[in-house]
Amino acid sequence: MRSSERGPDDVAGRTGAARPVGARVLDVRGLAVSIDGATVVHGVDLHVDAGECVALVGASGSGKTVTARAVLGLSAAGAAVTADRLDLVGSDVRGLAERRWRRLRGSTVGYVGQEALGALDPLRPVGREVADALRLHTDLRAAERVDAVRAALAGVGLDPAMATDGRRSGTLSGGMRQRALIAAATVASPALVVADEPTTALDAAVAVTVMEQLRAVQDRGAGLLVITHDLGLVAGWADRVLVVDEGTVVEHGPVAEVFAAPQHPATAALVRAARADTRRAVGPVPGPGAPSAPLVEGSGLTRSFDGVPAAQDVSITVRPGRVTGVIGASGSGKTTVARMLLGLETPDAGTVTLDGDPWVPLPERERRARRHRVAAVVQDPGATFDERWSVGRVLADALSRGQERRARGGLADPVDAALRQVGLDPELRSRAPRTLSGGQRQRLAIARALATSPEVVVLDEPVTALDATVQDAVLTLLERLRDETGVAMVFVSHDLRAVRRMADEVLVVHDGRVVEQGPAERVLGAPEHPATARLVDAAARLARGA
Amino acid sequence: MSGVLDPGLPAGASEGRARRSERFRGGTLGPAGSVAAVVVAVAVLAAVWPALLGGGDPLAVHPADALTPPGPAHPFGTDESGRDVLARVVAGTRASLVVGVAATLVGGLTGILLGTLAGLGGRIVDAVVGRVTEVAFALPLLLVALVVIAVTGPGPVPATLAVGFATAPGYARIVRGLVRSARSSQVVETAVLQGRSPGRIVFRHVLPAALWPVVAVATLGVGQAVVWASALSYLGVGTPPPAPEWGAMLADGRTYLLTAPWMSTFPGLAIVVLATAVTVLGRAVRRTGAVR
Repeated sequence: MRSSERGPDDVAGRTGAARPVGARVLDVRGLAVSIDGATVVHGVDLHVDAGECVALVGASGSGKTVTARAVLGLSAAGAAVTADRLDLVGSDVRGLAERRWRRLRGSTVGYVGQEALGALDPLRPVGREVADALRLHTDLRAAERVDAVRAALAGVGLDPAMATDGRRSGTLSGGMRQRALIAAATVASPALVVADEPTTALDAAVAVTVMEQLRAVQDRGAGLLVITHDLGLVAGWADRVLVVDEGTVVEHGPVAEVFAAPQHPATAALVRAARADTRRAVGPVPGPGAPSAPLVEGSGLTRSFDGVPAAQDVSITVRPGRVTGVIGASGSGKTTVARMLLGLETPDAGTVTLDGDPWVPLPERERRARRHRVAAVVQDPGATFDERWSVGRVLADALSRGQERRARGGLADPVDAALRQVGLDPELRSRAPRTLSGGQRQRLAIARALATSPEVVVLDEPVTALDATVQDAVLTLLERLRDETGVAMVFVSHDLRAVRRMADEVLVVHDGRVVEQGPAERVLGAPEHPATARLVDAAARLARGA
Repeated sequence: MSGVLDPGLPAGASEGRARRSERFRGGTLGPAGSVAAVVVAVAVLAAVWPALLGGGDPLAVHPADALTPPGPAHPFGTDESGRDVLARVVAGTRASLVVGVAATLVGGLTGILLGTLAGLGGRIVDAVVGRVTEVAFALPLLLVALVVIAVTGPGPVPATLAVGFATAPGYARIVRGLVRSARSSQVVETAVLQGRSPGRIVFRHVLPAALWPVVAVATLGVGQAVVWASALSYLGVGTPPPAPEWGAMLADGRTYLLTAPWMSTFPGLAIVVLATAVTVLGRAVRRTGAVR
């Protein structure tokens, strides 16, 4: 590796970076992993020094998680790991027995997984979960452990009382759980912390605090290995970056260099995705005089669940051919608003009209004949496809309004055209949706939504669950469809980058209320409400790493 | 929906050969499954064409040969009337298999009907059907079957119905749960968004999702039904003597258990082997992923 290039200057880009950069905590040479005979990772060289942050970046399926798990001795059954060198804090860990590995995990190397929701035991108090590493690896007495756990929780910005008050993970939000995991991974002061997609699916504000906690761990002298698909995320946070593609490291070096002059096509795609922060090109100019009549208009929408208000007095207007962005932090009530517009949730108060006619509240029977005018795309479309249906049947059903089962006869061409319109190969017709990749599934969901030539599509976090490069491709598709078909959209997302690209008007939802609305340019450029400012600022800080 | 349901079932014959071979690529039956498949195949053969395997008339009485131990002339020995036990065991296969399959069909269909009703119906329908099936479920299966027989009188058809009705609550509970979760799935929500009518949604999405897993459970149920049907005959309320039936043969042999143990041993073995084979085969088939 280019260790010679890594001088103390590397970290100088950041303010007050006087962190101890010292001993090598992880040194990997020639790592190869094959699963059931197929080589998925080969020839990976990787090292992390104490106090530095190294990012392993790649699209999904590139082998980055397999690499990280091999480094932790957590390879799946059937995986064969070989390496010329695999040193963890100076000692060789190749072929280590599971018993010995257990002694290292938690004490020498900490792991922060991707699924914060699943990684904490819902039946055990969070404080005990965090204390596990200490109980297993140290001789601390109970009282000392509690003190250490309190310090660790405080260190990640959580209430220290959680160490002893018996609170369980079910009562914590996603961001709090992710921070609790960081506390659990770092409480025993490991020399190396591996974080796998630590901020994926978190909104910008929460992601920033999570990254700040990880940096604090780094400042305390630990080496940090961050795995992510989003080069934009690590741009401001990592010292060095390794780009993984098809199981090999295709490019490595200081972040700024890689970002400025990507050499490999895979890196270029990642950089493009990270930079894809272009503004919406000027939308269709509204006709002279009065703006066109609203297509969908929600007014005074209010809904609460079990007495907890999710949306209060939300009014939203969607005009033909325009894109209305709805932004807000996680849990702000965006999805509830989207579901009320779709008639999936009946508001406690307020109404929605479609082209001036009542739409919500109304018995489903009276909406059915007009359903084809309104379509929806959700965050994870996987669960919306019937498992017994093929791709062809999904589209044949949508195009024929439920009359046909097969994509043949007069329907064959429309189905192929629908697939091509969203950039899918018509050969996929006979496949089951669950065998498609996440990006392909989302494209199929978009094709299905557009099959009835709707006038408006409600998209609820349509790209959040996708890889950065795939996000870019799906957003490009949506931009093209928006411009070609002139369909109006409601674009719900916590991802400001995506909203900025798509939206004409923006609505900011905070604690269930609309706190700001107006042209996208103005709201995102010069936010007036503190909640908006916080979102815009968090997104900027996340990109910048400050 | 996945997780709870995840039937991942054959999507109908329309999928073509490529798809089918892909499904079976999941694996073979395995050693135990293969043995079970052979046993079930032999049993089916015995039911269809008894003469091929056992030869002899199961009802032919030869008082002179009564209670002959197993030997070259009578591999399984003879009973108190000199009837060949092998011939009777082979001939009894048909009764056991037919009653087992028929009872499972009766139980499965009744269960599907009740479960669908409870799953799709409103709160009141669900509560009524739910309480009734729960009470029936709480009673021992044999007791429910005997109550049915007490109403209908003994015989092979009543025995089949009795076993069927006794197993129905189990199927009803499974179907109800599957229908409920399919109803609230995102698949159904999407269909609503597409403007599909409730009837179409039920037939296109809810019932297929709920019924195929029940078919898989029912293949395991056939083995159980064989045992219960034999139990009823053993108690004298199923297939009447002198017709060859394993349960009835067991009961006959009870008197001679010390002097002619072969009379009850071989029919008993037949019940155990067939029930085990059907159950093992059902599991093995399910594991290959052909029917999940």
